Amino acid sequence: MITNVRARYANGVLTPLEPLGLEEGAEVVVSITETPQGTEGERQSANAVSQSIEARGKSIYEGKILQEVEETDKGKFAVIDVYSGDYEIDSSHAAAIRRLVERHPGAVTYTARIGYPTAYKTGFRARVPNA
Amino acid sequence: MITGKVAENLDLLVTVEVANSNGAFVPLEFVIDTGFNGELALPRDVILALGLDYRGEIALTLATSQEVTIANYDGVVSWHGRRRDVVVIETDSELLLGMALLLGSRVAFDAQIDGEVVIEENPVTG
Repeated sequence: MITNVRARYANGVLTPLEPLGLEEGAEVVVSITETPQGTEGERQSANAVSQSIEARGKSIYEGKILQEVEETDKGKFAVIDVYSGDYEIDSSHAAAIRRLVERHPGAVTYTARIGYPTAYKTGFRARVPNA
Repeated sequence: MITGKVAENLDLLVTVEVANSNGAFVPLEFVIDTGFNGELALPRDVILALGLDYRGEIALTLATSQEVTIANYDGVVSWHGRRRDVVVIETDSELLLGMALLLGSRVAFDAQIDGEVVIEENPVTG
């Protein structure tokens, strides 16, 4: 089976930026293709990855976490490790991330905010790619 | 105490130190954005220059009501003399400092060009 995934290289370690769907301990062969920086291609590839992380995170949030939260959790952040499905809930977004990353170093996460459609809102100053 | 000044366009500018991947604190100038309810928003080139760790994706509601998905990164700032973990989101705009970082602080400014901007720990809630 051949699949293409985006990965980021830092400190001698290649970290996948999307779920691999592999068994724990599975060995694979990695081929390297450098992504040109700042191109339309990079933007599109980044979008595909971000959508896949969002889709997986949302499905875990809606399928599992929403059933377990209580009224008092409204406004808290649910940070989900999209590989393992493990998650942390806290009113401090950074604290939830820190606890999750202690258990899953290098975790790729999706963050939902309980009771809200999105994690954050911005004013007119914030511009984002593709908006 | 964190200080800054009122810009010519009446933006409130403050300088906050953000840690890079070597653990060194780099002073960066932010616009205080009370319309943003997160902590920090940084453009991609600044995130890359600091070497922040990519952490995942979040959904964001823009001022236009449009919902978008964007990347978030782990950040550390020097805040009232202490290290504080923060969530950094990637935007194409200026460096923005949002309300979630200001929680527990008091913001004061002299409303005139070059007027002083001060963020201090709120003695009651901080």
